[in-house]
Amino acid sequence: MRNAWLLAINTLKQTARKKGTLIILLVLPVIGVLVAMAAYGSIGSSSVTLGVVDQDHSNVTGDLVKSLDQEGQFKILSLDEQDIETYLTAGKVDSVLIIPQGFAESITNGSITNGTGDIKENLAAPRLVSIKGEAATAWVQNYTNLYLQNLQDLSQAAGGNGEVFEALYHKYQEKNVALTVNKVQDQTKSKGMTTQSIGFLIMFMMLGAGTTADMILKEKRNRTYYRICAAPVSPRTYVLGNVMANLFLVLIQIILTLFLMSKVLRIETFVPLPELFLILMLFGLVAIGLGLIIVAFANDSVQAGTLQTLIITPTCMLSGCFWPLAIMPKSVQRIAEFLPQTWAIAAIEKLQAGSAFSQVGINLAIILAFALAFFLIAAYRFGKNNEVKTFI
Amino acid sequence: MPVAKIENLVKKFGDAVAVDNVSLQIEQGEIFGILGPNGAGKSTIINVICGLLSFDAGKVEILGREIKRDPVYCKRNIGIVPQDIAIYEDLSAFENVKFFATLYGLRGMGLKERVEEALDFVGLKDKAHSYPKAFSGGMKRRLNIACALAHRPKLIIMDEPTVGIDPQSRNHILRSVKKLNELGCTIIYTSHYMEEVEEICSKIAIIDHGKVIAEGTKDELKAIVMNTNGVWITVDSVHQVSAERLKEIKGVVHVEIKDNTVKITSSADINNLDKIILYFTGNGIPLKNIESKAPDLETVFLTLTGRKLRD
Ligand SMILES: Nc1ncnc2c1ncn2[C@@H]1O[C@H](COP(=O)(O)OP(=O)(O)OP(=O)(O)O)[C@@H](O)[C@H]1O
Ligand SMILES: [Mg+2]
Repeated sequence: MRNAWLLAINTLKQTARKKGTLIILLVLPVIGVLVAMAAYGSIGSSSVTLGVVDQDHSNVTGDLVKSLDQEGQFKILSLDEQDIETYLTAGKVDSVLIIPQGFAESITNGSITNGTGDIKENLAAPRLVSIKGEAATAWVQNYTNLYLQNLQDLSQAAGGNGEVFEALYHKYQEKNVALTVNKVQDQTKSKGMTTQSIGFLIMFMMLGAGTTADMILKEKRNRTYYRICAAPVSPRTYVLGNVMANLFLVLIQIILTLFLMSKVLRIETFVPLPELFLILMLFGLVAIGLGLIIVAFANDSVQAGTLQTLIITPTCMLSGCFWPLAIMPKSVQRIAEFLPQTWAIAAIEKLQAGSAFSQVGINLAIILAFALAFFLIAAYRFGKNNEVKTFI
Repeated sequence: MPVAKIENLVKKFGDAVAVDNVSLQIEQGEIFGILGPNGAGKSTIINVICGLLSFDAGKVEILGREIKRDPVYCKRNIGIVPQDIAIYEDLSAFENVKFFATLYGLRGMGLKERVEEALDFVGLKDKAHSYPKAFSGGMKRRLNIACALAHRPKLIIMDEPTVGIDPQSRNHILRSVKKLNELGCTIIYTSHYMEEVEEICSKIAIIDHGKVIAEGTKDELKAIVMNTNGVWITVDSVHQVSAERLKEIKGVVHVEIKDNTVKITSSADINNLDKIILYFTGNGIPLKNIESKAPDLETVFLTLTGRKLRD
């Protein structure tokens, strides 16, 4: 055990002295988070124009439009109903929010809600028309829903009494701006940002584990493996040492990324950090197992590098590390089910959607099974060619 | 109790027999030379002794314990200097020696001392904190040796430790081997340089095609060829010299032409020097020098196999 520890320290020491390796291990995950931020940051910037058709012309709707404008995410353009199509097709607006007549009325008397907080399909509820994808409208939807939620809370408090509502509403508006901003979060955006950052982290974890496993080939090449085996060290201890070094590096990667996301960039992940951490650590085992398999089957570093690229990049693409799995064809989604990354990302998305941690147990079990299978295959292969003769 | 005992060792790679029924016994305090040409099976024997290679038949014991039964004990008592340099380029000389020493269980206060001692021994003390990247071939070879010493093994095995280095480093290494031996280490030393083996080894086994073809002390081995003597004739140009014609002279067993020297080995009981000289003068080849040579290990190998150790 002491020897495994010594081997791990030695591997880490050498990794720390290689600039290229350090970059792959530590800098790339950071860049991944930043790229994910940038990708999501651009959605909902002022380059998106939102048309608003206010058929209600009430105080309440005026305030809603004003507050949308103040968020600064969109250029707001007031439209008439008959202009919607022209503006949309001409691309002058990206989406249109239609606030129907009677909106304020139905808010005031509480008819817009079904009491559980969901927005009822109701003539008086605002509609969103858009030709861009969900990404462009998601933010508005979220925002409006939350705004409505607030109104509806007031309405419920007023018990359908118009005057009481009016009074409450005024109070709400007065001290409100800060409150609204606090309450309204663009969940879609930061959820997506989280998944994508994690997607990148997953890829870089896999690349990193491959790089560290590659140290084994290097030690065979420079004959230090021969010397290590001539010392009282079994091949099993040797591999254990490498796995320990790898685990440590994966740990650093995860902590670094999570710290960056939650403490520096303050992305709301919607998943408790310990749960996120656990999922990622489990996936770290998968990454290490895969790295060992590649090294066990490759004859030299070049071959290992090629295998690594051929395996990691496409599987990360297929499994939704870079973009949501949902946008890909059904057949691809089928294939994705056979990739460990899919299950890690799905676990995170489930948790984001409000599932309890116990509900992702199946995902964790599958990830663990992948890791176990990889370790077994690698161990079998190492056992077969552990005789040093192949490296003399 | 012998330090290493090999009995009827057989090692095959597929159908090829690399070590063919070899038996060797290395006693405490010996410098045991294993001499043989490329591919003779030297490294294969070494790898088996170090527990790095399984074998097909036979028995290997280190300090009375079987390598298959008690590999950890055996490995602990062996220091290996591999034929190929086995060091980390990214670690300093000190860190290299230290790392390998820790694998043998060294730690704490004693560790640093032992590492420094080992580096000092191979003359790299002042380079302790430099990186092998900047080392010459000879310095790397010396570091390669230091890595095998820090845990103070009873048996040190050196597999061609002087391959491809400058004469100065080589002499340094040969001196340190002798010094290690004086300090009480038993040493197995393989080489295909017979001069080296002749200079330092107290006992020698000559190996060819995986078989021991002769074994004994220097003198015992030379006694095999006492019935031959050699004459080296230096000429201006070896153009006209025909080895074939020289071999026709009675008593000549071998002729080798190298640079401007013709090396002729003859049976000791036939005096043919006059005929040899006659061959040269008769063909109008002026002689520059004639030297009589006592038999050496090269001659031994030549006599036993009809081939030279090296080309
Ligand atoms: N891993 C291996 N697989 C197959 N054949 C091998 C292997 N290792 C050695 N051999 C063969 O075994 C024979 C002995 O090789 P070995 O390396 O022991 O020779 P050696 O005496 O050390 O030679 P050298 O002076 O070149 O180091 C050679 O014919 C070699 O080709
Ligand atoms: Mg060899």
